[in-house]
Amino acid sequence: MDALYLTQAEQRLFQALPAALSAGGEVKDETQQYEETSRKRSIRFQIARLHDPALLRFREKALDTKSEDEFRALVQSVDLGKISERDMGQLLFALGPNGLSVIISGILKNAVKAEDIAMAASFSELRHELLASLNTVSA
Amino acid sequence: MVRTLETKGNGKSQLTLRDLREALYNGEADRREDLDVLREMASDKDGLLKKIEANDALTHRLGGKDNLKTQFEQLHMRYGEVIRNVAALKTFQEKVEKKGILRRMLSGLGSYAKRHPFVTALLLASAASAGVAAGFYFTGNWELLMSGVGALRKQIAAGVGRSLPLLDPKTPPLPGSGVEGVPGGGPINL
Repeated sequence: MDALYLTQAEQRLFQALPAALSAGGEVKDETQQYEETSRKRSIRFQIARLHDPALLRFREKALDTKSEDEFRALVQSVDLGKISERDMGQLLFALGPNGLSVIISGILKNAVKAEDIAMAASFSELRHELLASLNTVSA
Repeated sequence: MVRTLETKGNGKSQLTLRDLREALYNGEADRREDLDVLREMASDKDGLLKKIEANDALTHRLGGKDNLKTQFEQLHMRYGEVIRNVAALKTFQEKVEKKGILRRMLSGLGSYAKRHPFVTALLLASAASAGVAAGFYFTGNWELLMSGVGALRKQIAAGVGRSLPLLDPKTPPLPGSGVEGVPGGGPINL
């Protein structure tokens, strides 16, 4: 399994998991910091560009959803696993480190399978790289 | 005819991103966006300046190469934060694609997201906002976002881009509108 780059709080969530899930997971300290602001978030969202037809279709239709059921059906119609790497990268960049932290915590809190831990590891590595990229240009 | 330079009250012309777009992409300028220019600024600032300097009409209207260069530097400074983020996005994208992290994540994401719709909802809510030039931004209230999938759906269904509380329509357009120390200027068309 790939390493998990976790903050102290996330490590506590990981350690609270059943041993069968946490065993074998290599945990590394995520020590990078990033000061999020609404301005930074706004810029990231503004410069993100999507090309994947499924995402563009979702965006167009989302504007016209009239009910929760309609929106739920729309969300369920998108297979995120088939989104292009490029667009997923743009989305994760726009979400930023804090958005990814929410996802990672959510995954760890609800983990019941080994694949959940693998997913947390992937997202944590993506956040690690995102922090490095953002902090390099901020320096 | 498209105006390529904005003339200020003092009679001096001011270089704009639109000028650079038109100088760079000539007849295709309308099919490109200011973000393309900012990407060039982020990846090869000196090369971009050379290309612009080669545009005699623009150089002439700006009052010569020295003035053009000065204004180019000012423009670069004005959009500095955006340019740095453009550079960060490029670095991030290249690194995660090269290391195969995105591919690995995507290979498991389809089935994972079906079991945990909050991930799907959050990523798709981002998709609804990404690339929108003005008005729709996340407030950053991620705890609220994650308070429950049902709540998230309800909020999003309330109307992305209309009254969605996850997005903050009060967030000022960026950059160049005089916010947080950014010099004034027209809103950017990214």
